[in-house]
Amino acid sequence: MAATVTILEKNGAGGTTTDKTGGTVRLKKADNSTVDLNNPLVKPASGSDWSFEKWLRLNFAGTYTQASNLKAYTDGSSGLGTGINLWAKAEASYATPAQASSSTGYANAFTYTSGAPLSLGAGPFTGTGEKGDHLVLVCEVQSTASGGLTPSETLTLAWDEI
Amino acid sequence: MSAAPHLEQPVPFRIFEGADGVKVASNGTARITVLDDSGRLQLRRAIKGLALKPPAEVLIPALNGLATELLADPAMAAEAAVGRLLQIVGMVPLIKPRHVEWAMATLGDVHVYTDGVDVIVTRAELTP
Repeated sequence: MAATVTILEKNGAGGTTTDKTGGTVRLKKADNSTVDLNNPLVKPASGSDWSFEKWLRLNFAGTYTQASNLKAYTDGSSGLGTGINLWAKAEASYATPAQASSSTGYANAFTYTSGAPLSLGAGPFTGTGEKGDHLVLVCEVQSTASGGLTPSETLTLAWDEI
Repeated sequence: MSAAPHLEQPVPFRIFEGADGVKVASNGTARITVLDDSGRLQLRRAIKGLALKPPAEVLIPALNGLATELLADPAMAAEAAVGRLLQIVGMVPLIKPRHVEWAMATLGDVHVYTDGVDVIVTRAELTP
């Protein structure tokens, strides 16, 4: 059998999980998994407005032998517009999501493509439960943001399995 | 490569040992077999489309904008008003996150990838 894999969003001090496999991840200025229009990022008069960290992790269930090469990537092209950045990093250990204040330790998420993905762990991983590193995302809105509608951006999480 | 058109999500391949111990991957409709002992068979899987925007985030500003235009121009032609509504409809992505299910056979430095419909033979490392 192939593993049943879900994407979990983790929130709070205890890392409460929410299945986001078929849903939307909302980068906002609050630590919760709710997809709503509350706690939005606001274009600042100067500097940047930062979201809380968004912690995501792959969860394996069902029967499988082993998984490896966990990775995350984008299409390599940001449609978010001028002054809006999406930052990404991999973290082994969970920490309560905090509001970011800089991009230190992160890389531009759109530099991670299918040809040069962000590794979330080579593995091999066995057994059920959360596997690999967390994918941590933060969004930055700079004072140069143009505002208005921006297109959806999507992420891909991929892995090998036997 | 594309998913089977009649299914919302593709069926994952399953790897098993076939007759004479050969490695086989099957998703019920397609089967890929590695005859050589030195060959490798694995699944390459992905979930694409995480982080789609909620429709409300797109619709609310767009509808507010149209409402403002209608208030400013109550005599807007029906064609123009409907045209604006259709533009708004097109702003909402209807694509759901989708799973990608490939089987990947490797012999030496040559890889064979299939999603059950298309088969690609290459030395390159392909990612869904």
